[in-house]
Amino acid sequence: MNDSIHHSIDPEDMQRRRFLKRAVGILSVPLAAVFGYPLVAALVGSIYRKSPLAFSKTPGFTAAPEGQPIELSFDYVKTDAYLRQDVVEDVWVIKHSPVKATVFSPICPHMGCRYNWHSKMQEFICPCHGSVFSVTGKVLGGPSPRPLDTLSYKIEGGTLYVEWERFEPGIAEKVRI
Amino acid sequence: MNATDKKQNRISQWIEDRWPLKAVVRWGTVEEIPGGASFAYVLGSATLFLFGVLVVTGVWQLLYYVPTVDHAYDSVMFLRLHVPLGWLIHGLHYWAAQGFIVVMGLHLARVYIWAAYKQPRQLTWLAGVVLLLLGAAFIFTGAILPWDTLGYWAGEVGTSMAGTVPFIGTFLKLLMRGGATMDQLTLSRAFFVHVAILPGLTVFLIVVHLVAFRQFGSVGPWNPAKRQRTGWFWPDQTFKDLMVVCLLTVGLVCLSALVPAPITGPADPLDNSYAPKPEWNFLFLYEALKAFKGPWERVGTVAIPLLLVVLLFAVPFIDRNPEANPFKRPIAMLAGLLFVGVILALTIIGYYSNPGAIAGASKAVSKARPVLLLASLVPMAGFAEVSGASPVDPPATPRTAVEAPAARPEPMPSMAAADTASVKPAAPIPMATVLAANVRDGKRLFATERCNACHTMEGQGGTLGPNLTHEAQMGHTRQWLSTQIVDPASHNPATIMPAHTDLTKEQVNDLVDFLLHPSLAGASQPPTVFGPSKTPVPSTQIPTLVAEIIPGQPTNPVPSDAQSLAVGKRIYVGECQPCHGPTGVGNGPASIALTEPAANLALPIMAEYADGAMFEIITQGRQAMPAFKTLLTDKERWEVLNYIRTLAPSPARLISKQPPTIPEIGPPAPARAPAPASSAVPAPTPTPVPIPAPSPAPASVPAPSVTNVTAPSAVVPQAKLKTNVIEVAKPPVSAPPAESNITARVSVPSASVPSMNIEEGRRLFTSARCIACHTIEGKGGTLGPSLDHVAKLGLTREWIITQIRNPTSHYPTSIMPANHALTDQQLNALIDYLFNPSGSQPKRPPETPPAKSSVPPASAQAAGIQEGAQLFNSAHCIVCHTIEGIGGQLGPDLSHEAEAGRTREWLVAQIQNPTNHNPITIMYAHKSLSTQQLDDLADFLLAPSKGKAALEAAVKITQPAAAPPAATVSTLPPMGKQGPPGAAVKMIGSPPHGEILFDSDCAKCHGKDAQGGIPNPGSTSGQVPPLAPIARLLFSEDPLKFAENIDPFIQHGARPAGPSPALRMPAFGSTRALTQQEIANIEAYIMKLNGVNRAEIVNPGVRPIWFVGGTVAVFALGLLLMGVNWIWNRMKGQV
Ligand code: FES
Repeated sequence: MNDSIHHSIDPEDMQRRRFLKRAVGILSVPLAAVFGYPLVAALVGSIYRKSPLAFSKTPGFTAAPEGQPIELSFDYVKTDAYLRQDVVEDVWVIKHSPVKATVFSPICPHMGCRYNWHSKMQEFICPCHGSVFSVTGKVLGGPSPRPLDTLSYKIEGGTLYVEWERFEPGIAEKVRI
Repeated sequence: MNATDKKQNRISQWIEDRWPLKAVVRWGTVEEIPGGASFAYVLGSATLFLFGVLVVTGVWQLLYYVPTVDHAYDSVMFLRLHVPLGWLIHGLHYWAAQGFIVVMGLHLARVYIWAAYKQPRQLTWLAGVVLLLLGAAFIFTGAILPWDTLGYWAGEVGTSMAGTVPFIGTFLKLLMRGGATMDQLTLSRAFFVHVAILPGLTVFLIVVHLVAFRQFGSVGPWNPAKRQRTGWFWPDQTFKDLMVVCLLTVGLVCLSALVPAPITGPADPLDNSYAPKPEWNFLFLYEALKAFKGPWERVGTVAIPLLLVVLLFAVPFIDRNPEANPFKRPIAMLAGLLFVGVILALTIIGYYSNPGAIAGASKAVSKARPVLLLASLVPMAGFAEVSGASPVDPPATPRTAVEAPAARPEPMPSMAAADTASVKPAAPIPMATVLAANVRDGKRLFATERCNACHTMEGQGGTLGPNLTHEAQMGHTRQWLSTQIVDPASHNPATIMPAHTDLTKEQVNDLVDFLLHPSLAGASQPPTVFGPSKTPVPSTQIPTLVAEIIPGQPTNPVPSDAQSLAVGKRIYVGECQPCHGPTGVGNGPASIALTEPAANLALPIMAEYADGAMFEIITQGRQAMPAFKTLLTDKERWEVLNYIRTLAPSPARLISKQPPTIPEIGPPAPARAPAPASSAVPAPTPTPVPIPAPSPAPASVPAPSVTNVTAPSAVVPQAKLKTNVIEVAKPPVSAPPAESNITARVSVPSASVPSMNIEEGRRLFTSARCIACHTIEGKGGTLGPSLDHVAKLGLTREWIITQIRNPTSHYPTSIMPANHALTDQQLNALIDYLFNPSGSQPKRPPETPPAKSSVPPASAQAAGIQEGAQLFNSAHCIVCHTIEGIGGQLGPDLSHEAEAGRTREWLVAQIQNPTNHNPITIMYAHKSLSTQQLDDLADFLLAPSKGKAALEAAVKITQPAAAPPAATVSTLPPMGKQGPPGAAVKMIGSPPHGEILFDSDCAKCHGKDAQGGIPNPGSTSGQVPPLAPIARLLFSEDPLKFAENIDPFIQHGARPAGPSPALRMPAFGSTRALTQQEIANIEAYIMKLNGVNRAEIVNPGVRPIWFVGGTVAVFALGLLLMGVNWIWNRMKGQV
């Protein structure tokens, strides 16, 4: 092993070895890239994933009274990576006509409690910190930083489909979680 | 030296003072290679590189993978489809594993040729061989981890193979599985070994291997002259290694992107329709093992692999000649060549060999042999023992086959023998050869034939009969089981099990296949000892009679000439073919919707039936078959009969109704007088099918039976004694006890005992197992009558109590078990509930008979008919019998008694004393009816249409809620009214596997490749819809959505729109005819036909093809830079 110097004396050998060393360095770069990129992508790429949105059939709309908020529940398949779970969610629906409605998320925009409709006062009132909302979702009082969150919906053949999503509570903007 | 270099030096010096950095680097890089660097030496480095890739991609997969049986598959598919570049990480791991084995093999060959295993490198060689074995262990455990079909069966077979090792086999198998069956603990163990144990061992051995290698260096060329020149590992050999590594990388990326690892669907222990072969790595073993059958199988499973390993280990010790030149080592070279040649040849043969009968080839499968699947890779003990009962039939005739099993004793079921069982010689063909279609059909039949109403299988089903989950281990032969199904009384005269004579022999065989399927009881759990004879029982031994002779009918007045045959054929095609099939065997497309199979008109026995009898059936219909009385003229019916006659193969048709001749082999069938039976068809004269009943027939078995199928009582008496009789033992029915006796014996709690609430009664209805046989509130069994309307039947509380405590006191032939366990209070609660199941009203109005004035009688006879109609209701005939669409289904439909040729006397006798006509009938003797009442009933039965109005009125008044029980098929939801999707939508199925299932289950109606075109008379569209292209409303580009759209149909079935669709979509999911995995596979196939890929990568990160392009591009760039480097180097050198 100690005669490596002996080998290095030959200038042509030196030159060849310099080339080879540099070549090894050059080839290492694409190799590292080809393996490195997927590893990094798989590590970080999935963290920005959003759970896919879907419209869920919400029964009870046809029979709902017009102009009056009504709580309707629907089955919803919650997707958590490879786990899919059937959950029941509910929403406040105000039917304006057979083809038009307002759908409120049942979650208070303040801190995320579930609010209620008080038909005597014709107001939504959140029991947690007393936020009060009008039938249109406007804040009438209390700490809520923004009006009630509406959800997208569509009505097909008299049936209501609701797109379930959640929003960040406690801030003035409606930001999807 | 510039500043950076200096700084670097300082750092390295700092480290050097504390850790021998330079020495380690020097050890790793400085090596003098005799003969210089060579591409021949890159294989070791390439193996090491692949191992590195496996480690890194393996660790990365742990970010997503979970080793649980219910989520492993989904988590792997999530990685492959949803994680950016997850497909690549999975693919790299998969392909690097394949490459690892290949390159290792080449490395081994290279070392062998260069004689690099000789002194002093023996340990290097040994470490290398151990590494190769570890590689195989990696492949084996890794395949199990996704818990998909392929991996599951590979694991099943591999562990069973270990089970054949002498002495410690069973222990080894249990150890590998973590228990008797392949389940969660097996997966945990595979995971533990694959990611913890093996990598640790491998790293350790790699270090051992490399240290030894560095110590003694490369062998170099065998030519001493060439060895003079030397080269260096760094950078010369390193550069060559790296070049190969880059090539390998491009190759791996291309393979991962373009040839993804197969998707075989989630593991389903019950499913044998998938017939994979082992991974190529083990193909040679698979092929070699085929050569060893029976007692020799362990040569294949243990001896050969052991020999291979020992040979490899022994190489450096056998060949101690220091000579390295391969040309001077002819024996070693020849031996090596032979070794490689044999392995290669076996691999190639294995690759091209028949992977096993394709499922869906169905019945032919049991005859096509020898078929070998993955499961048969090793005819290992676990499978093979069960195979003693598998129908691998030598093409024997039914007759002779019956003899064989009769000659051998029934073994005693003995669980204690289980431990020794695994080391005994096994049968030649593994169980798995009875594959797919049979087992699956049997599974379906188990649900559709309502076996599950009484029997539990795998935790679901009734409890009236014995649990059948472990039938494969009970020691019952095929023959025994077949007989038990068609003629249970031959095993146990007092059995309450109904004889399933309506099953075809194929169906019986399928059921038996299913019952004996090893997976039911945990795949390869060592079953009990079977009889010494492995003679299989052919599947053709159970004859089935499909029609009965109706006596006294005319012969065919229409001559069977060309013209009549042509007309007959046209009618047949239009009217009969949908159910009976083009060749008459009963496989028409509409037959799938039938609860009972369409008759097989092609059976030779059909020729034995008189024209008149056949004509009668065509005219009147039977069971699901419509009456063609009004649909076809008399002449047309005779013409179609002429055509039907051409379907049965026998040319010699016996017009006379004399009993068919006794076959040549076997003793004559027990003589018995043809007696009218109370079975489902009017006026049948049972015709014993000639089956040689092995003599002597057990004396305890009452000779006659209602069944027209005289199943062979193949059990000789001695054997019978040993047989584990599992039925509820009941004394043979004798003469009805006198009424007075009963009342004396049964203490009837008085109705004054305070009753508990209805809720308690409802609970008791389930806990006392009433529900196993009786339906109430829409739930329950169908063995007994529905109890939904007890309150309307005019029964007293005392009567019901007696019925529960001592059913035979009312009905001496009742099959209802007596229940003495209930207290008076409980009985009262139960009756409260029966009187008022919905719990809404107070209870129990035994109502006054309907006003007779509603149907005024016109004459004495007409008055009798009206009375009879009301009696039909009030005497509870209606609970079991249907008339004109109203009534229960336990007994036969009585709408056509007159046409069936029943006389008044016969009917009266039947009502009063049914056992006179049929000793084992379950019909009650209605002895309390007066002569007048009997007469009225007979009047009504002989002219039911005239009394229909009265019956309807009676039913309306006394049974307001009684709707005619719906037929099985009509309980299917109409289109668009299905329930929710099942679990199948959450699974990513395997399209190829789905195709196999589709061909056997769906293609009958939806056509080959789901092209549709099968007529569906009576439906609005007139055709079964094609599925490719599928209806626009169901289609979706989103695979998940697509699956959700079509899944409800497969799960719950559907009734097509239209007045009376002949074909309906059966429910495959809710009846558990198919597992959710199988449904997922079918869905994946249907989607594939529609251009939607269920396994499409949802979030590729970079599309596979682009990633390939990118990889090639960066390496091309690297090459370009190297060229520049070379030129620059050249120029610099010149300066
Ligand atoms: S959470 Fe509703 S008011 Fe605070």
